[in-house]
Amino acid sequence: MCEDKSVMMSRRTLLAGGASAALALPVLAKDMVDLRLPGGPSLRSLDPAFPGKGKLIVQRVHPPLLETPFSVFDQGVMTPNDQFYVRWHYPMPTEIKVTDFRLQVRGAVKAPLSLALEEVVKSGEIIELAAVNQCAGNGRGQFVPRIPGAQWGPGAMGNAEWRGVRLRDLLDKAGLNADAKFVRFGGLDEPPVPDAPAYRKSVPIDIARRDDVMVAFAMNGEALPLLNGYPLRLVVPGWYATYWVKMLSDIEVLTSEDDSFWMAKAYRMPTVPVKPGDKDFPTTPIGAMVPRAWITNHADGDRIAAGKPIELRGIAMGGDCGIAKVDVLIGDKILCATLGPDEGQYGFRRWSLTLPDAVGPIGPRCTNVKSVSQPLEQDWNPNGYARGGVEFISLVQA
Amino acid sequence: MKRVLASMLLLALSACQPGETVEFADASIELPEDVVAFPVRAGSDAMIRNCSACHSPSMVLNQPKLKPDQWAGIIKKMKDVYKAPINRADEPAIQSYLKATSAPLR
Repeated sequence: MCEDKSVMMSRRTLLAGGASAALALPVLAKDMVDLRLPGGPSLRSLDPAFPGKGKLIVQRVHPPLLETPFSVFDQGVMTPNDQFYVRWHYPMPTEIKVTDFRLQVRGAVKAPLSLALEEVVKSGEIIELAAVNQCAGNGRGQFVPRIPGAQWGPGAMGNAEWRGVRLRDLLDKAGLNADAKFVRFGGLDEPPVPDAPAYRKSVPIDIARRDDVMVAFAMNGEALPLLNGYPLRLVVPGWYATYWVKMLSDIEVLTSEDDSFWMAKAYRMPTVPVKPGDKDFPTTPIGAMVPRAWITNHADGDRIAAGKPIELRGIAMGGDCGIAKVDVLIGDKILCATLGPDEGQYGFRRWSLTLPDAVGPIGPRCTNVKSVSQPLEQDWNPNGYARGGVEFISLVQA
Repeated sequence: MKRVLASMLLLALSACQPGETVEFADASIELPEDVVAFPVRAGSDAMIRNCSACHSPSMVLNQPKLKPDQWAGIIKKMKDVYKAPINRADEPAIQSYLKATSAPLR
């Protein structure tokens, strides 16, 4: 582990990686949070409260955009349901009647299904796994230059133990036609203006048939909160949350690539490096997540005692596979962090390290088991998706 | 503050074993109202008339400093993609309100 200790980096490279100057924390009104988004506006309220939820950063009341305060990630690798972030594109249904609910499986199948909840649960073996659910635009507000859209800080993500039945079992119950190529998912939410594109997402058939892709009915041992998609939600471990369709009610098997808005126009990544202002570059639907790591017990600008060792801890994720190692970059040094228990390749994992001092920007760098390492600089793209560069902080010696 | 109206979510879960029973219950919540409004100045009426039906004012107010052409692109997207019924006569007022929203902080 951490075999590349000899690699040297210049301070200039580190600074270019995104460390911001340490600033004294402003005094905040009660129940306000400063996300420190470059250039602002940065202040967000923890009000109003949402039913069944504890304190969340209210980015937008309707449709709800609620961010998990970053301190929650210091408390453990699982994110409690009542502090799990929330993201709806369109107005969300606020009532579910169990007897009225049906999950459709239709399209290129031999026998279309319309299943009550109790039938969904009995459609196959019940499986459980921990996986990070992360908004494709998590951290959009931290990019420079800034990008329009939901102005998330780093907390549009969470890790939960998901429990459900395999999507594959539902597809096999309906019987896939030989020409099945993609599977499209829709939920109960509807656009406020009827002609707007309904929220539909699709995955290739080989992803849909993966052993660990599930229709989940529980999260951390409890029913999904309504705000997180009760009664059913698609879980695609290792892929961005845009595919984890909430209040899942429609599964449609397609014989060709999905040309609808949310796949063909939105949630797409450039396939070539782009700079701000570039136009007409090729794009592809966003898919698998990238490795990331954060320090959770200190924030940028925190004051620490001079001349004493600094205990650092944080979380990391491998993206679409497990974690090989986490190093901590500080000054021209690269130090090997100690990893906590592996609680599932798609979940968060703890790391920790004691530093002799904390002079200069400090950033944890995750390398996953596919040998993908976080870049030192943030990979800017026009929609602010898939943030994955090393997240540096600076501590102030007091 | 409005709170949970009714309905406890009930989900009886045992360990992952054959014959596991999962029970679902009816659920409903009441979502809170906005607590942040568009600051009142020239154009705020047009913002309320044309924007607030689909999203909270905070979606606008939390945006970074955007150039007028970026705001124009967002208005175009709201109309073309999301079919927002924006009154053409209100567009200049919306544009200038958004431009003022992105004015440098003093």
